[in-house]
Amino acid sequence: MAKFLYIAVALTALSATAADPSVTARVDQTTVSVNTRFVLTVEVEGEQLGEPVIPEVDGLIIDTQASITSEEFSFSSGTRMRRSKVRGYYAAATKTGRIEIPPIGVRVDGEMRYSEPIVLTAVKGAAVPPEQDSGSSRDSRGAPSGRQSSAELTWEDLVFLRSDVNKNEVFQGQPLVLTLSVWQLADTNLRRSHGNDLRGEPAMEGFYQSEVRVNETYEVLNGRPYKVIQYQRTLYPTTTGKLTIGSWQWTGIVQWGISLFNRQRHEFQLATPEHEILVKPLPPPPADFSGAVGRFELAANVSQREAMQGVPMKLVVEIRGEGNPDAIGEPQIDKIENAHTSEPDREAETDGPSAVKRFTYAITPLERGALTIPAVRFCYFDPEKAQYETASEGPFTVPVLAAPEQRTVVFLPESPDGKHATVDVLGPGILPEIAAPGPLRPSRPSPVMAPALLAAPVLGYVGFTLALRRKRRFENDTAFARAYRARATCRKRLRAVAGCEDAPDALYRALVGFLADKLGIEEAGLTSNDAERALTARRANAELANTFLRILRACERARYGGAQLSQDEVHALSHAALTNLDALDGALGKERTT
Amino acid sequence: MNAVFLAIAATLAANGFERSFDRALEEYKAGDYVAAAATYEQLIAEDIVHPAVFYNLGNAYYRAGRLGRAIANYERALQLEPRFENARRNLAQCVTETKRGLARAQPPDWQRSLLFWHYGVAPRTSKTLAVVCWFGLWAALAVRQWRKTPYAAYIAVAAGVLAIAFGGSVWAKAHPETLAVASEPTVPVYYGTDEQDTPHFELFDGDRVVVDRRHEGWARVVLADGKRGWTRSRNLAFVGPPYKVADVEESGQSPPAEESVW
Repeated sequence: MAKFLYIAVALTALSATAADPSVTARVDQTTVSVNTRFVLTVEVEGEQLGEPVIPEVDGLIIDTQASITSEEFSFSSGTRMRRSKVRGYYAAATKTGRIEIPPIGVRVDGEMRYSEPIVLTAVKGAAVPPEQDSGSSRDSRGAPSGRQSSAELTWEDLVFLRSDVNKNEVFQGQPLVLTLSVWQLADTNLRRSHGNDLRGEPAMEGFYQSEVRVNETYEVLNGRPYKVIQYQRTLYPTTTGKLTIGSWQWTGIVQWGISLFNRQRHEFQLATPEHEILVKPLPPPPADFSGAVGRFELAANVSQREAMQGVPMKLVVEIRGEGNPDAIGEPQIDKIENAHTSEPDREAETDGPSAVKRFTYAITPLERGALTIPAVRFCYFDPEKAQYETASEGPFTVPVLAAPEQRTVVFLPESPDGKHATVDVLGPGILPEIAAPGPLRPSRPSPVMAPALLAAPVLGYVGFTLALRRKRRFENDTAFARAYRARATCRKRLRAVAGCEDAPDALYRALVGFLADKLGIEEAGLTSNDAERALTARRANAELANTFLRILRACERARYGGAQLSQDEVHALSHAALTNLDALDGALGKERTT
Repeated sequence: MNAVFLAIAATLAANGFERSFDRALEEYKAGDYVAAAATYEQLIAEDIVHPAVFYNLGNAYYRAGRLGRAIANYERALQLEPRFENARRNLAQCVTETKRGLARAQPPDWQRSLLFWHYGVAPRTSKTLAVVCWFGLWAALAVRQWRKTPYAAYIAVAAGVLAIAFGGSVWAKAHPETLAVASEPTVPVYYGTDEQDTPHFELFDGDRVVVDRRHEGWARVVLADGKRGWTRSRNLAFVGPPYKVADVEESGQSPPAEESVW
């Protein structure tokens, strides 16, 4: 159980407010048992802090390795950082009698500072109950009396409730803070099984309630550390007279003991007392009363130093203070001449009873020149002074430049006086319909479109490559080009045979030329015997070769043997040659050379 | 002759769509927002996929008080034309009017910056660029075959990379993660596909969610903060594509039986 005390004292020191001098030393018990541990706590505050120098004390053993350490930072004046350091040391008396711990020195901001000396009385025998911390002793609202020592811990010490209000007498609408807290002993032996702590929240009829704020802190009470879960609501009385904040009913189960087999269980049914609040009515309000009750400040500013005709600028009015944000009504602004004023955008922020509400107006100047925005006024009831107050800011004067002529449309919320010769005010919310979208066509993607788009360039590329290769072959491979063109050239020449003076010669040259082109051999001096050998060597079809050779020899006889061929014979030979040509071209096709 | 006939038929049909569009505009101007929305929906059912149609439909739904459906249609308009500022503004306005103003799940900023050519470009433009780059790739290869141009290979590589990038973008846009918008005042979301179950959380009209599974009239939704649960598909307006209601229903993926509840 001593462990509670050590933690308790450390946390006491942690939560204690700063005092002069900046070094404070204390012990959790001024009367200690011999050979029983107690805690010596040193607390230091300042900007630059050293470690405490623990002196040697006759009759006392102090473990100079701090067992409890804590540091906190805070900023003062916005920029200067303050530190708070707490060190807890285990100590034990080795002899009875009076023991004095001399001042403990710590270097603070470059200078040595010392604590007050501490006097202890060491006795033999059992531990003495810890001294009570008068600053944190519990009141009669549900907390244990604090008579027990840590050794005499009762179930009631493990978990208890508190319910507090910061005011018992308020004006209607004035904020008051209700704090409900669950105090639970900070000990690893304790298990608390509970659902929603706020399930039995007190009845608060006649109050407008803010959202609940949950806060978790550690507190020391009667020398014991507690985890405190606070539920805070800001309440705004909506009616006058005596209102009651009901009792908070809390049910929970607590188990004590680390061991699974040695665990004790206790069911709690706790309740807090009720609070009676006297709500006084407000005095008769003035005509411009906004409805806000509390203490408020008003700030207003215009977003621009210079405006343009037809272009909106912003007037932001900020009301800050303690009060119900939902009751903060719109501030008073007199009509602004030559300008369109929109309904304000409202934005509220709350932090406990503090609230900030911003009203943002879009003001669109309609004429060039100087635009004067009259003073902004805000009337509220101040409960401290028990009277109505009016805060004001302004007036503001803003020079307005002439708008370009094209600028005729302003996107602003509609208002009754928003119609102006040069300003077309659109409706609130959304931008208008689109009237001319262009041609509307069904989007029905063809299943072959994507494959076609993918394949088309590939096929084009392949075709182009083949064509290019062929072209290059024609350019570079003469034999191929001759063989490829042999039939066409021969046909052309055979058609011309009929009109020639020496038709057999022309026919002969056409056929020899074909064979030479087709087989890639020299045409000049090629005889029918040469042709026969060449055809035999190429293993041409015998029938085709014979037909071809017969025509060729007939022409030879006419050319060299003096045999005259009639027109009909030439025609027949030409026809036979043409007929034979295709078949022979096909037969010799595989024999093309490169 | 047939080609002329088909061309005339197509022109007449196009005129019919534009007449329907004009009629919807008239209905909207007359304050009959429900009728205007129905006319626009009919156009969409006839495969008219145009950002202006979705935008105007969003406006009609907004005026008719159907915030969720309005948001879904602004999302569709922005899906087709990411630089459609009017749609962006109206969408923002609608989102501010939802109960919670929930943001939709968005890819991280670095991803949006890195893939700017994907996120900032309309699907039609991505498609055009992909086709142009694809043709450019093969044209550059052909030029390289024809003549040894020093930069043809680099151009081909660049065009190939761009074609893959834009092609991927087109595919991703054609198969986006299924976005849906709660289209009822409150939409309970359950841990599983059982309406008797305790709701896990609730969606409100206009809340945007990603649907990652569909199963027998149920959709598993994921919020921007990662919360997931099952809700009835009928409570959601699916953004698409596809945009037709029938197509949306058909496109639902059935999860494996053992994964119907997680």
